[in-house]
Amino acid sequence: MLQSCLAFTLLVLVRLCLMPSPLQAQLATPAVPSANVDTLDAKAFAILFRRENTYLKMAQAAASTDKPEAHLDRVLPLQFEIESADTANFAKFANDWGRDTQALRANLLAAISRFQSSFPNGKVTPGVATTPPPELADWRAQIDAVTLQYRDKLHNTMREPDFIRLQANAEKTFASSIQGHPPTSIIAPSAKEAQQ
Amino acid sequence: MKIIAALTLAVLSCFPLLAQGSISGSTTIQIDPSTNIVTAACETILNGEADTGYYAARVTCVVVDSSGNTLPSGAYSDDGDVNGYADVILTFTGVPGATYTATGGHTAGLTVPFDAPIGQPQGLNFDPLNFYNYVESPTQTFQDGYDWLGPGPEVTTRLKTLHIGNTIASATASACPTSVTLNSLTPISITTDSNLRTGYGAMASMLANPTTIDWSSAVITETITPSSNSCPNPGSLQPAFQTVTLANSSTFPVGQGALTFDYPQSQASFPAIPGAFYDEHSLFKNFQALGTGTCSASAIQTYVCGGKTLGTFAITKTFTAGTANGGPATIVTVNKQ
Repeated sequence: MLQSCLAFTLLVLVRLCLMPSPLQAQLATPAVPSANVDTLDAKAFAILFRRENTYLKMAQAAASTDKPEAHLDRVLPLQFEIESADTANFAKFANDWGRDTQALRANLLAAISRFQSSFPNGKVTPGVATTPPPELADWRAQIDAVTLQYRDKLHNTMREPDFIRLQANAEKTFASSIQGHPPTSIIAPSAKEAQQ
Repeated sequence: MKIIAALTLAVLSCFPLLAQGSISGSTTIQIDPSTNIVTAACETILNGEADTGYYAARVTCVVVDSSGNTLPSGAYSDDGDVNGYADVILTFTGVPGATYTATGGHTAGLTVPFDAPIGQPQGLNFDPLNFYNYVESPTQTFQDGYDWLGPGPEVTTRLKTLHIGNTIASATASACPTSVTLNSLTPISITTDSNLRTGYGAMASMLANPTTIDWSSAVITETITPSSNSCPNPGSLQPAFQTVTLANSSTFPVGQGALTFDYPQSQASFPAIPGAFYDEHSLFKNFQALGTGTCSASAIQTYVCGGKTLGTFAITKTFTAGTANGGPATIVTVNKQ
């Protein structure tokens, strides 16, 4: 994590030092920093790949082809306008992503288990360290890295405009609430549900 | 100046990476236009520091139609934080024109108890990121998705589960076919009814596409605009087509059989075909309308549903003087394309 932070700091420094003057900046097209894109995509593509795996599994398990579940393999290609030529690669990369991240997830769970085994009787008691070990963040970062690798693999097999469209739709659908444009609350809260 | 700004931004940027934890909730609903199959997905995801074993993702998913009838629903708990998320996928075949709303309920299960010192309240659970902060009544509901950031500091609560909010999404199944195409055109002979001296035409079987969807509730109407007529004027073959507007059009029932319009003594019947409707193009009289030769008339027909044109066809009726039913007659044939 520290290495990531330092690397990010260096990246920001370099980028800012190379920034154009304010006038030039006004004329330039604003761009989303790649670090932010990766943050969004690590979330968006993880959900996208995971959902594809879930839909394909449910479609394959459907009792017959006239059951609605049997059509689930069409949902994401339709929703995200994935061309028919790209659906096989999409399904394959989603499957491979699931396999690769499952192993990392197992390591994350093992680390959580080791951490929580330090709690007396499995309970947090005053004075016990409750901050999770940095190891957990490292495992999550590795999972994100794998997600971005499969995003890039998918990118490399798709036509550029098709991938740009998929990426934009995935970010909008699955990560829009972390882009600084949170959806509007449509029912306002009024009171606490319960008291401690 | 730039360097100071860069350092400040860089340092500030590092903190969320180190300490941020959130729970995401999302609800999506899609309707496949070729099948009207509705798919709703509700998901609760633990992100960052929320995914460290203190919380379990839980989700409920309920779909209702516009009348408030509850359709499929489901719930899932990722207890043990095995996956770091919980999702429910619901799928069913929708009704044309119906609006469906899916609501995802997003809950954090507290998995680690808090062992308070003797003399202090017991039976508490540990909430290190303070998602208790979002437990509201009524529950907050957001369109499509939301990220609830764990605001901290750590708190303890008697609650075992924290319902932090809902997300909601809606979709409407198309009320109309995407197109109407010609399935078949069956000629009907004047001899079908021995009383006729002028007649008959053809029965068109039209497909409401996609035929995989039951369009029996769709309101499909037509317009007919005469475009040409070479028959004697004045004469009983002028007009050969009645002008039809959306205001005076009848509705075509999809999936039903049909009888010819002719006098009831000898109506021909056509069987019901799933996904299709019948449209008769005919002209019949009990006198001979054309003494000699041949003439024809044409019209443009459109099928319309929900203000959208589903298909446009050219219809031509050809009238030929001849003999039928034991005497002179005007025989009508129809082409449609």
